[in-house]
Amino acid sequence: MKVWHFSEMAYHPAWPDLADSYRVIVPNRFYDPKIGADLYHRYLDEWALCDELGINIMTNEHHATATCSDSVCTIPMAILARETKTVRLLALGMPIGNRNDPVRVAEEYSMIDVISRGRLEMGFVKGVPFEISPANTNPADLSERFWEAYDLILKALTSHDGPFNWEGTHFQYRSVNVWPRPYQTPHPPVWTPVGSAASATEAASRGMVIGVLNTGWARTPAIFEAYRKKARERGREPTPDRLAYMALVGVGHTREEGHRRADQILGYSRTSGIVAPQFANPPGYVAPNAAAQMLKGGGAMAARATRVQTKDGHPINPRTMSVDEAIDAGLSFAGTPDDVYDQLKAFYDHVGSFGHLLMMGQGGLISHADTVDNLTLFSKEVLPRLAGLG
Amino acid sequence: MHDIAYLYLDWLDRQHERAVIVGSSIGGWIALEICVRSVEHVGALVLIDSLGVKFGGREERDIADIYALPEDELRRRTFFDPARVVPDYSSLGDDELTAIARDREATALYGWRPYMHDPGLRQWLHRVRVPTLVLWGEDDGIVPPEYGQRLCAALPSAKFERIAEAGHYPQVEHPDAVADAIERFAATGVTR
Repeated sequence: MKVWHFSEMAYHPAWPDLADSYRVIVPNRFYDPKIGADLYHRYLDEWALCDELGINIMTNEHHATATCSDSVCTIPMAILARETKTVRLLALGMPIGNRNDPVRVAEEYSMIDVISRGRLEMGFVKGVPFEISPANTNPADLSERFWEAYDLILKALTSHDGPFNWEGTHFQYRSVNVWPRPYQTPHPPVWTPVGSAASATEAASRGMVIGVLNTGWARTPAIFEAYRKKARERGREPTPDRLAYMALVGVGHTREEGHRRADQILGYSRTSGIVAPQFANPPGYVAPNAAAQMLKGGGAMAARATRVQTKDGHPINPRTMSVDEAIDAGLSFAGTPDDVYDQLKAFYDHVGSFGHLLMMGQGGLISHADTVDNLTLFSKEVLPRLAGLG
Repeated sequence: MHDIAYLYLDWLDRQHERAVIVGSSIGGWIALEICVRSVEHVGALVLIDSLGVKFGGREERDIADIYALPEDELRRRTFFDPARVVPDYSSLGDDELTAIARDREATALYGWRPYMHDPGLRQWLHRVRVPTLVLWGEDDGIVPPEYGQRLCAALPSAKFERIAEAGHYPQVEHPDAVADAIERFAATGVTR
């Protein structure tokens, strides 16, 4: 199993000043660039350390939010492409339905792949609903735009005979000719995050690696199974390296220490969904029948509130979730190295294997020293045991 | 939006009489897109709290951002008396709710960006050469009556009337008052 360290580079110093929305409408006067600079360097140091620890690197991006100050996922990757030497670099990823220029995305990814000498993994994301307003892209045809951008980027990265023409529904170019070409042939591996069986099926039919985030013990098996089923239908053996699962990981020298670290990292889960409700489900973001059920059930926020569940299917409030609840839900693996391995192994068996652990080893309020120890301890005590999995 | 205008123009071509077009909100925008193309089969135009035209500067918002307003404020801006007209969604059937969701999706598809207007429409408003009644809910907080007055002034042959105690959809809050205003106008001002 490959392990990836993921952080959203939270700008947590603003959190005490915020109330009903951490996203979209929160003014950037709450952001102090001097503190922000220190935080960027700190988070980058933690990722750079991963190169020594044998843990791969994952970035993502969000916009107009104090929960994540990584607003361009390729910027830390560009830095880490040179600062690191061996680990792989996963950007999960680029919201290509929200970006106006897919060719530019191909150029960014291609440059990073070359600078890193072929260590890039390319993520393409649709983006959570509250990314729509900062990007001001039309939610009603997001999916269509996403797939057209995807096709164009892949073609741009794999065409080596000069300019080609692209006059599509959403993007028009008369001369696509990406320099540099990517280091990896035919192109860096392709990933996408999914949260439902339907989107897993779409990804499987294209052979993408799926990253499953925050779906836990209750919702993950159906998603992985949908992927495997569609992959087999398409004649592709769904090997575990096609499947990734994200968990918040807190390892300690004692169970208490591991739980304390997980508790701090859970600041991510507790703040991630705090958004003014009007941005939680822009029209057309989900299919009309799903939107209708949200209307009936009191809106998108009510629907979001039931997404995290215990093993026996009871909803957990993500904003107040305890470490024990997060472990029960399969969102977090925490405690001593033995605890973490045991929880991970039980989850692995429950969902029928997967090849990548997307480990949130930093999140929320956990300090730099604790993050370094968390990653180091994981690398020494847990990682070697994962060689047999996946 | 241009496609919808041509769809209606095709339909108007097949009518035997000149039509009175009544468009409310985004429907007013559609009506304007029709009339700048052709008024050959249009006898008169009624715009009710219409949108679709940009009058203000690039940092002014002519039309409230319905996708960014908190639900309570959106209701207060949309209706004079929200408690009287906003449905209890939990009591509606699945088909009705799906239709509402579909309508909202369509509205976003046409009106998301540029937001609820066509940047090129204003310069062609002189082509709306038919008698026009611009009806406006006095308490419209989505497009205020001042916007309606600017729209009225930009049209060649339009008059402006307010509907009291009504927001963005006066035909929902005061259907009789709106129907009366349209009938009075149609009785006198229509090109046959």
